[in-house]
Amino acid sequence: MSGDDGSSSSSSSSSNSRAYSINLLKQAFKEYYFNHTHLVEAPDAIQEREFGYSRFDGTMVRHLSMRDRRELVALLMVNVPADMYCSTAYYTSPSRPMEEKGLKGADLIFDIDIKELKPRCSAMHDIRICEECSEELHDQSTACGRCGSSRVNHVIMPCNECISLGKREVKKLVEILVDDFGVDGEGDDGSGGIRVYFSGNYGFHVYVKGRYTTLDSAARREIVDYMLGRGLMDALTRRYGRRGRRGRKGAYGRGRGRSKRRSMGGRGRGVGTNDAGYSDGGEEVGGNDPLHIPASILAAEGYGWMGRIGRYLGAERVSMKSVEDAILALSVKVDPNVTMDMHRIFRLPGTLNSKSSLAKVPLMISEIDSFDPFEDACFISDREVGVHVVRAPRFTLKGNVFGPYAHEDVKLPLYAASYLICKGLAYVKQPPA
Amino acid sequence: MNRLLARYPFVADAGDYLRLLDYRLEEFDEPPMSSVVDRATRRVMAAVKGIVYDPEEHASMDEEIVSFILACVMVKATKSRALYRRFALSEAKRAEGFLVNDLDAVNKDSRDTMEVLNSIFKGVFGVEAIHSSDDSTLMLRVEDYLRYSTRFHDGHWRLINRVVHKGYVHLSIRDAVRLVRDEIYALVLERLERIQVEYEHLPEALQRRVTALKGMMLEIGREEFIEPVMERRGYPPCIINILKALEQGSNPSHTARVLLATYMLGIGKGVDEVCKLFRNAPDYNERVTRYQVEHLAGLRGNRIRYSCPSCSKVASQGLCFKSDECDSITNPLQFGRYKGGAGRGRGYGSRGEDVGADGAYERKEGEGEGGREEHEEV
Repeated sequence: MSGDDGSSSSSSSSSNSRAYSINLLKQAFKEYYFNHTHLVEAPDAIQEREFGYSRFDGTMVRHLSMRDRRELVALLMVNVPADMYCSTAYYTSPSRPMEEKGLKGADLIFDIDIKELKPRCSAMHDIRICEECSEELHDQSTACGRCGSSRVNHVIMPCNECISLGKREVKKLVEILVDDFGVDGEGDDGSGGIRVYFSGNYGFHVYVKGRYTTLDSAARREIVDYMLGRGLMDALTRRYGRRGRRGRKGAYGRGRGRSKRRSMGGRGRGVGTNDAGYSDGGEEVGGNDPLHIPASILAAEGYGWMGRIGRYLGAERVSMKSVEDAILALSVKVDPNVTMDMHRIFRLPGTLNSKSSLAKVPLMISEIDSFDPFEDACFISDREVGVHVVRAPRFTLKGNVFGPYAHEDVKLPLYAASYLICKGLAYVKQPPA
Repeated sequence: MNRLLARYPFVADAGDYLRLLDYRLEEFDEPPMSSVVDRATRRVMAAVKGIVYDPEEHASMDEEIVSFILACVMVKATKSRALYRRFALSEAKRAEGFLVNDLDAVNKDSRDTMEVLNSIFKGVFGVEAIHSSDDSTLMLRVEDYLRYSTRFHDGHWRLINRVVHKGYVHLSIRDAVRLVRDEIYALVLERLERIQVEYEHLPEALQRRVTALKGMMLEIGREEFIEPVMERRGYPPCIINILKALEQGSNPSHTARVLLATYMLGIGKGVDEVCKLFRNAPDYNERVTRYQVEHLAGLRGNRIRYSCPSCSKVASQGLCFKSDECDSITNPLQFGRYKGGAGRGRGYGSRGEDVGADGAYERKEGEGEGGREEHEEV
């Protein structure tokens, strides 16, 4: 936590307020775990999972195992972790060192990070604060204009618009999982199907239970690439885009090296996409030349990606650029590393996210449009507490609008206070009476 | 069933024949059996020559099956692992041809097709394959497909370039068969391993053929029949691991092959020697391998000599099997430098006997570590 408005605070008062703030958060989290135990989801095959948690001081504990749900809940109540994690993998001996755990399989998971979708609205609501003097940075500079410190905290204050972007990706992902991968819609009985969660802060997690748990990491990479549409444009260009390539080579005279790189890139990138497969506004391939894809290949009734592109374009004449745009629009921007890493521990459903104090909660696909994380994932109590808010834009929680605030002492419901403390925008000045 | 066994003698039920045969090997000394012994011998000879056994005159189904088993017995009696592999590859290719024909039969629900799908795809490989009668494709469950396809490094096999629908990947017959061909190869090898036979205990007629085969192998002069792939002492564990994989006839990844080739070139091996290392790879193609190795050695293309990737790069590719002996080296080439292994001992006055004169530590011009991955299979 940072110093007071305008004055340089002593390091002891700063560390005191930090300790007071952490105490308040721990209290809020503890109340949650006592009052909302039923929301904590014990994973299936709990004895085969590795658990881990982080403390509010930033330290991490891993390689834990649980006998049953009761032991898990007891840990949450006694230790009050800042974040609680559980492996997506099933192990023979989950508490042993990584190389001795004995991997048996892992849920197929997808992480949709809204930050990676680069929502336009983020410029409207995100704020950057100097961690030294609490001054807000209004430009993109990397150092504070007031004290010169380079410790800048980029605070994301999500709005419904950017949450909607994440929902759109979830819907695309679920559609591909059902249509192409044959996963049964959503099931909440643990026997299979798709389960969608709000991550508790700025993203969504999608779990696929059942038949795909035995896939190895290489197979998961293939599925990630499938979702990202990675490599599809390359293959289409190689197969149907001859005229485009020839034209470019002739026109620029330096096409050889470039087209070679593209055609031999193998597992590399889709055209116009960066490493993660997201758009980086890359060069246009083949110009406006018509793509030589036979109409039957992109037929709307076709299966898989070709059918999807065909339905999206719905036109007989397709240009290379329009197919590229279609792939960009239809691909799902999942985080590749999360899906491929089978040893990862992943936030446990029903626990609180220390970046926001909101809970990781399940949601039904059929009701995704009406899901409001600022209402449906906010469970901290509403007793009033006093905090000092460094800076906060207007935000809504549990249907109540707060702010904007700037360097002021305010009384807030605990859920709003802990939200701002988690974001690093507020702190507790004095110990509660 | 016999019809199927005649074409695919390696499927599980052939084991019963083997057990039966254990008691009757001596019968093959008798003159009426000489034709089947000849047939078995020709089968092995095809493998020695690296071709697919394709007899002009067709034998009875029983003779086909028995000739396969006798061939296995003879191959095993030579005790040449290189011949085991050649034989397995030859039989796998033979089966591949039959599979394509059987599955591509005009009448899709013919008995052969269904038998093959049930007995071989499902029974042997555990792959549930469904025939789509409208457009001559096979449908494999996504997870089954990925189990095999991730071994291939060509973009053709990537899931994104496949038709995927309702949990199934749609494949042409040829692709479906290619997908499991390596499994047939492994299966024949496994069958060979299980056969317990000693040359001394063979009937005289078979002993004669085995001796003749050994002579033929010597005559052909394929070094791999006589000597192990390469002396491995003194190589770092990452390299040993790849050599072992190659020796076992498995299919190392592209990055593993690049590592092996750049390492061997790095310690001064010649292009010929390096190419030989890959001859056991199931998809070995001498021309392609030579091209790639020469490319890495800087003799082709952009004339850039590719250096051996650093240990951290090797680790990031999942190819590092660090042992205590690795100590604190940062590049596989440094392994054994202080221990007098295959490494070169540069700067310590000892140029290993088996190390070429130049190039081991030469910086390549231009590229970052590991080189660009522009190559197809080595």
